[in-house]
Amino acid sequence: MNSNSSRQERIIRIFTPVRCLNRDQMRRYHLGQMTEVEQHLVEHHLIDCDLCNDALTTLENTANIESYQQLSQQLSQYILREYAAGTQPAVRLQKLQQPMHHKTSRSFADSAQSYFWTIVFLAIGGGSVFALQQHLKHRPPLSTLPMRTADALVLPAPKGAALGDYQITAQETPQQQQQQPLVMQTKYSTRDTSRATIPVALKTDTAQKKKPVKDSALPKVQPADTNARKQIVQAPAPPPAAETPKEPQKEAPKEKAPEVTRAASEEKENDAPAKTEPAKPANGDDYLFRSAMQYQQQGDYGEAINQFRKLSDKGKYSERARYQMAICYRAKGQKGKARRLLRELANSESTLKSQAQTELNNMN
Amino acid sequence: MHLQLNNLSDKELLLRFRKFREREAAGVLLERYSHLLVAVCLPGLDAQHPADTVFPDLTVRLYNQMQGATGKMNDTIHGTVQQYFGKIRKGSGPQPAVRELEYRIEQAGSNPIEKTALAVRLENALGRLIPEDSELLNEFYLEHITLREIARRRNTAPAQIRERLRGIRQMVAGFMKEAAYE
Repeated sequence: MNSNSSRQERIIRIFTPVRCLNRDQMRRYHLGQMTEVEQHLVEHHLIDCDLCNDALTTLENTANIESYQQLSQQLSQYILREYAAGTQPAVRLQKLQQPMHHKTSRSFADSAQSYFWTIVFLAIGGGSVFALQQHLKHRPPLSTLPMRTADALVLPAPKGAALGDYQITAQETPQQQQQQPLVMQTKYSTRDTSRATIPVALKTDTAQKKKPVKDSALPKVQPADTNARKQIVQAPAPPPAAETPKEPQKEAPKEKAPEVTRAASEEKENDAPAKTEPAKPANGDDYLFRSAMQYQQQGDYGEAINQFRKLSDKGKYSERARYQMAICYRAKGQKGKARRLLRELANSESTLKSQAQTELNNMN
Repeated sequence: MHLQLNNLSDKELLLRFRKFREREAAGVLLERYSHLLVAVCLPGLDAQHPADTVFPDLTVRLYNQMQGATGKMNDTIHGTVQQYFGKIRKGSGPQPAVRELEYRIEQAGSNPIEKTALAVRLENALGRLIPEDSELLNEFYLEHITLREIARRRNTAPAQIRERLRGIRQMVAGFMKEAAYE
């Protein structure tokens, strides 16, 4: 049984393929260093392989061995270098060299196209920058200011005339007054918490009300005051009932202070019952007046006049609205309307009588 | 990667090259046969065929042939070299019947039933050989006598014994093919 299986195995091996000789096997075959089994396997392979048979036949000539070893090593290195992963095959290189003129023309077209798009993008970018610059140049002046500046309406010191319920501390020096301009907060947001703004109508401190009023005159709006970047325009603060402006302006003339104080004290006496009432929150008139003031500061006199006109008929802002309308008309160049309004105010028993008269005199 | 490819057989490398276009697989295959390529080409190298041009050309040709080559790699390389140097191919070249029989035996692998059936059919085919061929086959394949010893006993060259054995193999493969058709 064993002899039969052994014979079958050997018969099967007649047609069992054997690999070609490697370098070491070739060297050992020539040197006669192979075992009998190994030598038989090599000869078994040589029966069928012309390549190995021819190679061994060539190497039987000892003169070829040296060149064989040298060339074999060089060819091995060449193949490893040439056919490594990621290298361009030589065949493809040859094929790529043939249509070179097509590639040249195509590359020119590609480069021209890339130049065109580069120029287009540059033109678009330059145009965008120019448009942005023009927009920034011609946009409304106040919109260039940061939000915090736009939120606050800065009221400079009024001149001369006393203002009803405005009470200003007399202890403050002119330097302090200069450092702390009167600021009316027009927008209540959570952002500006550190700003030293003085709300117009916040407290009903009776002690402060009893302090002498140094100056509470209406502000004077300059005709050339169209640039909103010069935010410190002379604008009157709204006269809420229990409002107490704390900081006088530095332009306030000192010689008028006693008169103002007397006038204020008289008004205090007249308004004493009303001041005992609690301060009312800002109503629609307050908001309308503030927005009108803001329009005026922005230089939009037409809209400011419209807003003031709504307030001029009735309410506590009527006199101030008419006064501000006159200022706006004067700024717009409509001096006839401005004079008429100021004259009405000067002829009436308004608290702004003296201020209106002064402005009228200035216009004449 | 190169080391991993070195462990693959010729068939697997050719498959990878054809399927995935792995240039490195072709390089491993060419490098595996480079020493044989040099040895076969050595007699043909001269002033008209310097090694600097012969081997790059041959590697490129072999690289192109690998994409559609059928059969064994050694046959492909030998045929390409003979064609390159303008020599007439010796012998019968690739033997389809022998390759088919080798493939069947390789497929049988470790299946004892299949191998026994193939052995029986091979025994029958060997029985159809003439006694001289059968004796030569027994001496070389079954008794493991070397070619030189057989040639010495018969006062002939080892190359002639090789050619004769090659012919006998092809004959047996032909008998096996005929038996399969019957």
